[in-house]
Amino acid sequence: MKSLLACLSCSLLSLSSIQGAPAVLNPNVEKPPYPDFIKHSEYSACGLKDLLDQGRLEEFYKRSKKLLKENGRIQDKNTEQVQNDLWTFYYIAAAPLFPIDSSPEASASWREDKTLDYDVKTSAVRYMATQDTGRLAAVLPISREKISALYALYTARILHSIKQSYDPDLGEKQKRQRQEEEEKNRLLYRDRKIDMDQANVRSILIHNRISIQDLRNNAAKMRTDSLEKTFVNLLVEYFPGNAAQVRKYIKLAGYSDKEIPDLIDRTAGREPKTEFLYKGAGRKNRMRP
Amino acid sequence: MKLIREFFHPMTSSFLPLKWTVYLIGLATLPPIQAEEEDTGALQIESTADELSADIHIAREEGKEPPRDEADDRKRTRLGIGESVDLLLTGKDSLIGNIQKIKWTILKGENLGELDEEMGNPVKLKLSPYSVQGGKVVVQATTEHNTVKEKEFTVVVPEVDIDSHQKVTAQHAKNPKTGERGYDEWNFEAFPTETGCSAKLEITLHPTDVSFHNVEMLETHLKNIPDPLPEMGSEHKPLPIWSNVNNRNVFIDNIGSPKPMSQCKNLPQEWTWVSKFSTSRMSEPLLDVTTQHQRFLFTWSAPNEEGVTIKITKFGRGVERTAIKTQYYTPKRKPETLTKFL
Repeated sequence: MKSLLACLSCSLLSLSSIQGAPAVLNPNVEKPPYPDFIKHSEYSACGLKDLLDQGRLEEFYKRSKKLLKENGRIQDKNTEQVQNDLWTFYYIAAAPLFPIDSSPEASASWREDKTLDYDVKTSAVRYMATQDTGRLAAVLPISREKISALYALYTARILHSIKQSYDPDLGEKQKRQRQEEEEKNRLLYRDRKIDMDQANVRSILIHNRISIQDLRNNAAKMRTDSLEKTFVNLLVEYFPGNAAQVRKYIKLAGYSDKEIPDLIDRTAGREPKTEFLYKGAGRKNRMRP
Repeated sequence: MKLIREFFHPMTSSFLPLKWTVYLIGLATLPPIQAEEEDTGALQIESTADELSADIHIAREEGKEPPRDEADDRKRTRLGIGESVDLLLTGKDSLIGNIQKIKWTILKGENLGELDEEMGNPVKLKLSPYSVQGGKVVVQATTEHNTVKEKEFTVVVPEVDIDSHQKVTAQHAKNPKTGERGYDEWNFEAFPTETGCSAKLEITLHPTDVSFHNVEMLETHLKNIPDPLPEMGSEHKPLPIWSNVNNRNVFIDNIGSPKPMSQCKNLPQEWTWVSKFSTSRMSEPLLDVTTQHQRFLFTWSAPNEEGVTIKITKFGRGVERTAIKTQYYTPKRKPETLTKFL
C-alpha cells in the first residue's frame, strides 16, 4: 500500500517536474536553524535551492555532485562555510528522487546518469559521516548535540528514501505491466490510431522504461546495503552510550523495532563500542549475541 | 695483506664499527618490497559489482543453474562499460587507520571511469558507458600511514562484427501468453486476408560474463539495396530513440511489414535496408557493434497469385507469413496464414 501511494505520488510528481513546477521537498526533513543564510545568493547552497524551485531536478543533482566534491576539499571551515554545508546537506536530503515515468510517451529526462540521485544522496551520507561534529560546533553558535541531531536526521531520511524505493517484487510486477502495455499498444495499432512506426516507438519505450526501472531498483538495493554500515557507525559515534537516540534515528530511517537487532548485527556488530546497544533490549527484542 | 687481516680480525675493536657498517649496508640493500609485504599483506581491496552479470540473469530466465553463484559474480574484476563497483579496503584496523583518511586514486585507465569520492571507505568506481575501447583500470588506496594497496579491473566493450560475422546473438522474444519464443506482437495472424508480419527480436551483446545494463544502442540507416528502392519498397526510418540494454545484455529490435494486399503488385519484389547498430550517448552513435542487412521479400504464394508471402530476415533470424486474398480464403486455410518464426 505504501509503495502504491509512493508510486502514485511519484507519477504525479513526474508530470510536474517535467513541466518545471517546483520540486516537492520532504517535509519530514528539518531545515538548518539559519533561515537568513539561504537568502544570501553568494553561497552555493542557494544555487541548489533555485534549481529545486524551478523543478530542475537533474541539474540539481549534477550541481550537488560537484559541490560535495568542492566543499569536501575545504579544510578548517569558517562559520559561513559550515552553514553552507548544512544547507547543502539539507537540500540533498529533502530533494525527491527522480520520478518514475508513468507513461511510455514521456521520454526520460535523465538519461545521462540513470542513478545520479541515489549516488548523490549516498555521497552526502558519506560526507556527513566524515565530519567532526565537535569541530563544527566550535565554529557555529549551536551545540554539538544539535548538529549531531541534524546530521543524524539527514542521513536517516536519505537512507529511508533510498530503502523504501526498492521493490523486491519489481520483476513480477514488470512482467504484468509489460503485458498490459503491449496489449494497449497492439490495440492502438489494430484500431489504426497509430501506425507501425509509432507502434514500434512505443514498443521500444516500454522496453526501455522497464530496463531503467530494473537498473534503478537494483541500485536502490545496493546503495541501501552499502549505506547501512556507514549510517549505524555514524550513530554510534554521534551518540556513544545512548541507545535510545541510536534507536530513534534507526527508526527514522524506516526500520521497525523487529529489524533493529539484525541491522546492528550486520553493520556494526558486537564490539566494545557497540556493547551499549545490546544491553536491556527488552523482553521482545532480545539482541542476539 | 697483514693490515687487512688485522683490520678484519674479529677480536680487534676496530672490527666492531666495520661489522655494524656492513650490517647496516646489508640492511639498506634489502629490497624494500619485503618490508612492504609485511605491512600490506593483510590489506585487501574487496570489490562488489552493482550489477550481476548477464549470465546470472540469463540462467534465471531460462530456469537453469547459473555458471557461478551470486556472491562470486559480484566479486568479479571483469566489468562491462557502464558498470559500477563498490571498493572497500579491508584488513586489520591498525593497518587501515582512520577510514576517513583513506585516499583513493585511479592509477591507470582514468579515461574509462571515475571514483565518486577521493577519500573514505568504501568508495564507488563508476565506469563510463560511453567508452569505445576497453582496457585495464587500476585503483589504489592509500591509508593515513601511507601504506598502499592496488586492485586491477578489466573493462570490456561489447564484441563487434569480425569480417562481417556478427558477434551479437539473436533470438525471438517470448510470447507472453504461451512462453514460446516467437512473438507476432501486432497479431497479423488475426487477419488472414491481410498481408503483413512482425517479430520481436532479442539481440544479446557479448560477452555475457559482464553486464551492459547501462549501455544504450542506436540504429543508423546506411544505405538501400537496390538504390533507388523498387516500387513497393519503403524507406527505412530507424527509431529516433535509443534502445536500452536490459540485465541480460539484451536490446530489442522489431522487424515487420504492414504492407496492405492492394499494394502487392508485380511480384516478386525485394529490397534490403543496410543499417548499423552502435552504442550511443543519447542520439550520438559511439562504438559500431554490428552492421545488418534487413531483407524484405514479397512473393506470390502460388502461380495464380491467390496470396502473398512476406519474408523478412535480420540478424540471422526472420519471420515469414502468407496472406490469402479474400476470394480464395476459407477457414480451412488458416494454418497457411500463420506466422513462421525463422
